[in-house]
Formats: sequence, C-alpha cells, structure tokens
Amino acid sequence: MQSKVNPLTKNLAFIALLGLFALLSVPLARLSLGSPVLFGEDGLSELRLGRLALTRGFAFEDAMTVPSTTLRLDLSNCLLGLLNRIFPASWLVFIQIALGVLLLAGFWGLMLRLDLQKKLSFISALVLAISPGFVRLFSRPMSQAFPLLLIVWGAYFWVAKGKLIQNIIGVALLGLAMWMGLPWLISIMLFVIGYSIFIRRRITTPIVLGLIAVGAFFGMRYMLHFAPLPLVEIANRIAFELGGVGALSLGCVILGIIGIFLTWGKSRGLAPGYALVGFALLDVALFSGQGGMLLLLFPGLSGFMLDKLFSKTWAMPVVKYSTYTFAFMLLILSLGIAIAKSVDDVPNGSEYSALLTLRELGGGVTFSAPRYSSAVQAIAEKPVLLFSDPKAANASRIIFTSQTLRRTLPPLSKYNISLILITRRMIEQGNVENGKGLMFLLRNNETFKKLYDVNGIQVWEVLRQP
Amino acid sequence: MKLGKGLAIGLLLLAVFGARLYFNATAKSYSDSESYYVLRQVDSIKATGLPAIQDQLSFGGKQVSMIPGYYYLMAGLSYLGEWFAFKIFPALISALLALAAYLVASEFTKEWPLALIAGYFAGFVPAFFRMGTNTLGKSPMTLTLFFFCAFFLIRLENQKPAFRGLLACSIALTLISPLALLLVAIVWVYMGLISLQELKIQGKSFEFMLFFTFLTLLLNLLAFARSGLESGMLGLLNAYPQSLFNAPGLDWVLLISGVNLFVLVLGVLGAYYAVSLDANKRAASLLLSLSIGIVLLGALRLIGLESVLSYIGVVLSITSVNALSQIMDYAKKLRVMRGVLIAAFIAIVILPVFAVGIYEGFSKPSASIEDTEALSWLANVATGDEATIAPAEYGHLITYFAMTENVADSNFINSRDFGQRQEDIQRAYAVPFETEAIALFDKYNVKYILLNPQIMAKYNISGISYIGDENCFENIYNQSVKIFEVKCNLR
Repeated sequence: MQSKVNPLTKNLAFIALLGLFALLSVPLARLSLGSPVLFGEDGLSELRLGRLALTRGFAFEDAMTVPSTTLRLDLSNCLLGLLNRIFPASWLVFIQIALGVLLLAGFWGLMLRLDLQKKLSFISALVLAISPGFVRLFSRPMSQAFPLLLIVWGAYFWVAKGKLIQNIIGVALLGLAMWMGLPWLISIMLFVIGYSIFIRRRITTPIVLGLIAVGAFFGMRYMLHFAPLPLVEIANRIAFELGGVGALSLGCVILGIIGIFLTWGKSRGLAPGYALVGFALLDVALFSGQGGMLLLLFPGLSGFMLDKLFSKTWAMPVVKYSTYTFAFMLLILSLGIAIAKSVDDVPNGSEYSALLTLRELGGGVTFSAPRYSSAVQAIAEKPVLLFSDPKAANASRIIFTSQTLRRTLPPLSKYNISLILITRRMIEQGNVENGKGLMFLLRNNETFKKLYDVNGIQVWEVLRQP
Repeated sequence: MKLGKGLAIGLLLLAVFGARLYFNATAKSYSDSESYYVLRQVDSIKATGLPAIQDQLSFGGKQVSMIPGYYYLMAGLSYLGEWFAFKIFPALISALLALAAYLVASEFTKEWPLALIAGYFAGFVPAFFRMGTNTLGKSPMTLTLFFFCAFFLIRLENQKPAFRGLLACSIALTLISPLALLLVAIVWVYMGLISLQELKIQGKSFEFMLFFTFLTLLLNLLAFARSGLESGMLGLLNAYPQSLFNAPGLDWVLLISGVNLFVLVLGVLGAYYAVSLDANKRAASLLLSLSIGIVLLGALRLIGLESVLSYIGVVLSITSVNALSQIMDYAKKLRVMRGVLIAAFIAIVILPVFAVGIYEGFSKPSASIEDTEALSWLANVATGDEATIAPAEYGHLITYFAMTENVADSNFINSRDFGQRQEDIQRAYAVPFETEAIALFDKYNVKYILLNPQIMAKYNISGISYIGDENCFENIYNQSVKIFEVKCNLR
C-alpha cells in the first residue's frame, strides 16, 4: 500500500527530529547529571547581557568586571532580554531548541525555494542539524541565533515567487536582522544583490537595499566592532575540533571546501554563495565574528559534495563504502564531542549550588578561573576579574601560582578581590595545584577564611588587605 | 638486460642497507632520545598490550596523544628478535627509500640506470643520513612511505595499475604518523595544480583523495581531539617550544650541507626540465606540491629542519634524473666516449655523494655511554615518584634508564608549560642562589640533578654554584657524569 505522506513532509519530519535529538540531548543529559539546564560561559554571559540590554541600552560600562569594560550590544541582545522578561530563564533553553528546529525547517525550505535539488537540500539540512555550531547556538540562550533565524526565514519569504505578502514579510524579517550587527547587514546585502543579479530580480530588492542604507547610516557607529584575529584564533572559530568555539565540524569544512572546488564556475547562481563565504571568513578574521553565516553556507556546500559522493561511480566498492563511513563518522564524531562538551560545561550541579551560596554571601569581586567568570556574574551576581586585560591576566597568574603572601596580597588588594572560588575542575585542569601556589597560601587562616566546602568546591574569604 | 637491472637494483639496496646497518650495529647507544621513548612504548605494549597513554614519568605525569601504529609495529617486530627490530629493520626502511626514489624517478625516464642513480642519491642524502641513522624514530619510515605513495599516485595518474599499492601505503602512513595530514594537503594542492594546467584528474585518483582525506582526518581526530579540544589550536601551538620557532631557518649553507651540492645543482636543473617537458607534467606537479608543502611546514616550524632537508633532498634526487638525461643526450651529441663519461661521473659525483653521506654517519653523535650508565645506576636508587632534572634532550633517557620522572622532554604536545620548564631548567643549573634553585626543585618535585660536560657546555657553566652545601645536596654518583641528590625543600 503506497504511503500517503508526501516525501517532502517525510524529509522535513526527519530533519526536525534529528535536530531535536541533537539539541534536546544536551539539557536532558545535564538534568540527569544534576546540572542546571542554563550553562556555558557564552550562554550565561548572553543571558546577563540580554537583561542588561533592556535596562542599560546598547553601549555602557560594565561594572561586573574589574577593571570595567565598555559593552556594545545590539538588537539581538534586546530580543533575548525580552524573552527572558516574558519567560523564566530555564524555559529559554527549550524555546531556543524550538527556534533551532525552526531554523532547520527554514534552511531546508530556503534551499528548495532556491531551486536546489531535493536530495541536496535534504542532505545539507542534515549536515546543519549535526553541526557543532548548531548545537552551541540552539542548546542554550544565545542572541547570535536570532539574526541567523531571521535571515533564513526572511530569505525564505523574500524569494517566494508571485507571493507579495510573503515577500513583504521577508523584507520585514531581513530588515530586523540588519540591526543585529554590521556583518549581518553586509551578508543580507550580498545575498539580496547577488540573488537579484544572478538568479532573479525582485520587486522588493530596492526596498531591502534602502533599508540596508538606512540601517548602515544610523546604526554604523553601534555596529562597527573592528577586531582582527590572529590566524590560529580564526581557525579556532571556524573548525570545532581545533578547540575554540568553532561553528563547523572539520568534516564539514573539508566537504565544504571540496564542494567549492567542484562547483566553481559551474553555475552563476552560486556566485552569491561564494561571495557570502568570502565575507563570512572576513567577518571572522576582521570583526571577531563567530562565523554564524558559515554555519548555513558550509552545510550547503557540503551537501553538493556529499550528493556527488553518493551518486559517483566508484572503482572499488570497499573504497566507496569506507569513504562513506569515514565521512559519516567524522560528522557524527564532531556532534558527539559537541554534545559531550556542552553536557560537561560549567556549572555542574555542585558548582551551581556553590554559586547560589556565593550569591547569598556578602563581599565583592570574586576570583576564580576564567571559565567561571560568566557563571559568577550571572548566577552569583558578583563582579569578576577581566581576564582579557593583560594586567589583570598577569595578576591572576600571580595569584594562582605565587607561594608567598608578599606577592599574592597586592593583586588581591589592587582588584579588591574579597572572595575566591576554587572548584575540583580547576584542580584537575591545572589552574591550581593541591599544596602549591594559591592552595598552599589558603592555609593561612589569618588571611583567608573558608566559607564553603562541599563536594570539592571551596569558597574563601580574603580577610586581610595590605 | 632484466637480470642486469635487477642485479643493479639489488646492489643499490645492499649498498644503502649495508651503510646504515654498519652504523646501527656499531653504535653502543642511539643517537637521539626519541629512540628511547620508542623503546618505552614497545615495553609498555609488550607488557600490557597498550601504549603508555597515561605517562606518569614524562613532564611529571601527563596524558600522551599519539598515533600508536608505529609502536605496535616495532613491538611486533621485536618478537622476531630485538636485533632484527632495532638494528636491521630501521636500516631496511632506509634502503627502501632508495627503492622508492628509484621507482618515482623511473616514471620520469625510460633509462633505468639514470633512475638508479637518483635512487642512489636519495639513499645518501646527508640530512636523511643524519636523521635516519642509528635511531628508532618514525621519521625514516614516514619519509619512505611518503615517496612510495607518491610513486603509486603518479602511476595511477598515468593510468597504470597502482590503486591497491597506493591504498596500502597510504593506510600504513596514516596509522604511523600525523604527517599523513601533509600528504592529504599535498594531493589537494596537486589537484589544484593539475586543474590550473587544464589537465583532467583521473577518476581513481579522485576516489583515493577522498578516501585518504577522510581516513586521515578521522584517525588524527580520534588521536588528538582531546588535546585539541582542551587547549585549542592556539593551546597546541602555545605548547610548541618557542626555541623551535626561534631556531635558525633554512639558508644556503644548511641547504648545501643537508642536500649535497651535486644533488642540489642536478636536482634544481632537473626540476626545471621536468616542469617544461609535457610528458612529465603530472609527476612534476606532484613533486612540486610536495616541495611546497614541506617548505611551508618548515617555514612555520611545524617540522624540524632535518626533516625538511631530507624531503627536499629526496625530491631533488628524483628530479636530478631529468638533468642526467639531458647531460647524457648532450654527451652523445658531443660524441664523448661512454666509458669516459661514466668514469668522470663516478669520480666527480658518485663517490663524493657516498663519502658525504658516510661522513654524516660517522659524525652523528650518540647518547654517551657514561650518561646511560649513570642513569641506569640511578634506577636502583630512586624510589619512583621523584623527578630528575636535566635539559629536555635527556628527558627520554631519564624515563627509560633511570625510570624517574623528568621535568621536560621532546614530547611537548599536551604539556602546558614547555617553554617555562625549559627556562626553569636553565635557571636551576645557572642560578647562583641555593634558595632560588630549591624553589624550582620544589615546583617540579626534583630529587636528582644530572650534570655532565655537555650540560655544562650547553649552559656555559663550570659547575653548579650552590652544590657545595652538603646539608642540601649530596653527590651520589661521581664519574665524568655526576648525579646529585636534593635533600632540602622550602616547605
């Protein structure tokens, strides 16, 4: 009996389920381990910034770091803050997951609307669903997810043929995304111009370009964050396995690069895609971007490559199936590592309890390892050291390693540090060593007083300031 | 004719093998400390079936990231006899490089004697002789497999049967060394060069590239993902010793001494002819890609200078066949007598190449017997969880012979602070004040200090200035090599 379900619907359902599995596994695994669903340096930082964006505006001095730093936020932070006003913080995780599934559906639909083959669109969406960047952006509250979602759905509606209302909705969504950062604005501009020149002219193209001009004119000073990165940090931002935040798995990067080689010069319609890739790489290199657009572009290009891989005639079946297996394992391995990393991310259950206790204690600046900064700010609501400041970083090195109070007390006093948080992970990862450095000095009960010690997590008060 | 060719190839292999075996057999110790690390891994595999991944002795204890194929191979071969595994097999691998170079060169020319000369050059490249003699390191095997892969790929591109051979060599390379990643990059650069020349890439070659790319990435990801994820690429590079980045780069003197002047001149000439001759475009493009990749890695200091010179030397040895071919044609035109030409060539080129190679073998230093004896003696005294301080080049000797922890060794991946440790080791030897030295010893849990004439020359000291305090330091081993026990701490 023939199935009555449309094959396209089946594809969509499969993509959505895969995305849901990839994203839901993180909070469910964390809950089963007793860890809070709100987690991660980036996730907790975004949550705090979202709240601040609603009350402090787009540019202000952040008093929660020592020394203080100027923060520049945008509309995406406001959106997150707004959601947090409406929903409890822990609900945001599941809302973000739903948005992730929505992104997958929009991406797949957009590829179909761009007249790409159904098989290619399906494969590309699957690659996106198992990308580490996708898990990172949609398993925790991340404002960077909103422009991606708006661009995908905006483009989806904008390219619709003969549907003016959809086109207008698309313009509105793209117009909103433009205010979320200069890189997004430029990406939208490249897409709109490229689509109009190489694929199909749209009546609404001038409207979009007009909005871009307005957005650039009024918003430029808020959106320009020129911050070039060294080469290794660029690699860290792009490829997940190299240890940074990385949007893409190494397998996806390789497939995407090969996809570019294979498709180069074959179709004019792909020209906007190449331009977007080039700009996205520039965004990472020059604007310290997270490579968000790469998260959409490389799965698309990988889809070309994988499609060719599956349809190619191979000389030896064993080589064919081995290659399929290796490529699949590369992609899945990255997903597994991304999920595992998220499940293990700060804070775990014990650390969360310690941070809640820390919130109830008096005192000001709290000293700990850099990876706990966001958690201390967001959960314990205490200021922390700004580790990106070279002097503060040097001070932290002294505090961690010095074995004499004569060297340790001055930086503690300089940055007004009154509390110290030590976790078991900090000892395991070598920030501190038992019996050496700071752990040695903490035994001095005239200078330090232990306030909390549960499950290997300690909170110390600094008693004496020189 | 075929018998003559076979005999000549056999003689070539025998010459290279014999030269290597002579140095391997007559040396009383290995010339680099990495060999002792290989022996430790072999011992671990034979004892437990697994390599030592949690190394309690290196850097005071750390997790080791590695591709263990080579260590398993050596462990397996050691069951055939240690002399076979640690003396004969390394010499055989080096001889096989000459064969690989001959095979690649024979894709450039139909004149097998010329290809044989190219193989001969490759077997006696000075840098490779230095790198591959009296050592158990995996570099010679990596180099040999590299050029076998190049040979099979060239054959595949020329539509000759080679797919299975290529698969076998490339899988072996992937299982042995992360330098297989370099070959991945090289084949894709090659594809780019081929496309630029508007030549079509062969279907089987493309399949191989895809298979090899995914296999190599997957294996290396599995081996190194943990350290990459913990420290990131920046962290991995931060662990890379600054001293390597500051090491002198490639200059003409090093190039000539590492490659040999004749091979350099003939090789460069031959490379020019290879690029300009239509028939050899694919092979020339592959060798060019290989050279680009190696030089780039060397410029980034991601592989050592010896390795760069070895690879370049072999490439130039291969391309020299084109120059030799042109010289032969020119000599025929001038009606020079064949016998005169051969005699001149042997006198001017063949013998000096051999001599320089052999000279490198003789002049390559080995770890001194006195050091190994001293550290072996220390093994009977040390209780196990203390460290012995010495420069990083002694690190593996300390862990192998003395079986104590070291402060640093050449296995710096996964170590967070290699640069700092190197500085601290130097300070420990050179600092005038006892308190400062003891603070350093406390930091690394050092119980023993190794001192020999080479360490004194390295740090430009005549002795350790604070060592006279008998309350804190005791000379427990006193030969040309000295070992001192640290009896004090600051805590």
